[in-house]
Amino acid sequence: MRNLLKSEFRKVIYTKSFYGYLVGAIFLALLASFPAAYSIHALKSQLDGASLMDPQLVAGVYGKAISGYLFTMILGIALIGNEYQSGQIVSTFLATPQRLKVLCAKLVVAACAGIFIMVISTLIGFGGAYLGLSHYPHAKAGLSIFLNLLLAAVISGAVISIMGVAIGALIRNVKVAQVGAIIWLFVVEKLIVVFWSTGGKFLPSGLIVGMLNVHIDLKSSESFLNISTTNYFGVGASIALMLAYAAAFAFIGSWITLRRDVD
Amino acid sequence: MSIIEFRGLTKAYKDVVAVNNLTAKAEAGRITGFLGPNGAGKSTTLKCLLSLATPNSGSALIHGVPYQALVNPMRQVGAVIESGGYNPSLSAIRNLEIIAAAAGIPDARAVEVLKLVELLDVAPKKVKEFSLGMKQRLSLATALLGDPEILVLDEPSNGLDPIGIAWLRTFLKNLAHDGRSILISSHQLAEMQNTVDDVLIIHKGKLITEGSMPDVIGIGTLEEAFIRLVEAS
Repeated sequence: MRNLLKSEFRKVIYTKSFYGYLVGAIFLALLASFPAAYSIHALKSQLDGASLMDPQLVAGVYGKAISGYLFTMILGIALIGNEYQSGQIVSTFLATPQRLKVLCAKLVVAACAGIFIMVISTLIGFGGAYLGLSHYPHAKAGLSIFLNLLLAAVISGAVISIMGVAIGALIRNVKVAQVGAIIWLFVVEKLIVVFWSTGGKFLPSGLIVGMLNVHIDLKSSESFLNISTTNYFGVGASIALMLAYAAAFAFIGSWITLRRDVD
Repeated sequence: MSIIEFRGLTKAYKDVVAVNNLTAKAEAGRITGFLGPNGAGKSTTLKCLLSLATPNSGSALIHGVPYQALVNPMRQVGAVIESGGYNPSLSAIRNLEIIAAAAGIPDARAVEVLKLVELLDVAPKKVKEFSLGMKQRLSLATALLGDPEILVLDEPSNGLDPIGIAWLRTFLKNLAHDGRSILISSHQLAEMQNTVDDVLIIHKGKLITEGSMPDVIGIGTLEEAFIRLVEAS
């Protein structure tokens, strides 16, 4: 297993796209976190209770630092999908014909790479939020916000990259899988989380909000603009559900990898 | 003694039977040509042999066990498969280092095999910039990483120019001279006649003949014997 892990790590660190995903995640984290304080300040006349005096809203601003998780999904898809597409999987399976071992190594390496990307991008995003909030001296971040954010970064980095590996094993066309993942995570899930929190709280995006332990309840004169995360799961339940996602997707990935012939 | 054995091997993709109840063997220390027209089922058979595809029934064995059951398989069997086996965005040396790591082979061996196939000068070059001939040599280098006693080569001369084919012929003969057993699939019959000791011919997934080269061709050329056997099957 050590040999396989070494080989899979080499596949990640030798490939330029890994560093591209890291840069992308940092960019997204900064893009979401730095202007968040200004957005809330600008919206306070439209949204009842939107004030940076509220510690939950401040936590929400810092929570934006975790926005780079999309790139861990893309990384997971690429890790296995590119191998099938290029034919590299042939030499992987010739070196280690026990496919379950190969997939386990891929899942471990994907999880580690996902955690690395998320921790780095979240820390930089946290810095961006800190800079954005520095214009509002009453908005303070406590240690618990930082620790929750770090915990959510670690769990989401591992789980979402594992989900990516399973999706990469399932969908043969890497580009289709990656574009589909972007649309799902960036559009569909966001809409569900915002407009149907009862269902949204079960999705990875909703569980990330749950892990951040941010409880926001903002009302607008236009009801569709209401934002509420008060009924989301707590930290423990969110982590448990995220790990259940990881287990389910790892099972799907293994099942497909074991059954699939190499073209 | 047979080192590779197919026992009633059958592989179908949906309604298409690619390999149909194939029973044949390749002997140790010899170069065996695995011949057949395009679409005869050669690549599918070799993929089953290397555990890259799962047979519907029967078995494909190396030293009496499936490839999957071999301990350190790359140290026992080296393979060249049509689909390549490398990441085109990485250099030749990086690709070999990745495979070497998985098989527990020291990185220094990657340099040795690149030298062996005369690619050491272009080791840092990305594989996507390689010509077809260079890619074939890289595949051979990959197959030789574990210094195996058995080589399974699927159409290694595909797309090679005459100089490349001549190089490959000499290269294979040198490998056989070292005592390696080689199973090589091809539809380039003239070339095979100069290279192989034994012949397995399949058509539409079925074995139509097997034996030593003189026994199979009789009087005439391998091409004439091949056409005669395929038309009669």
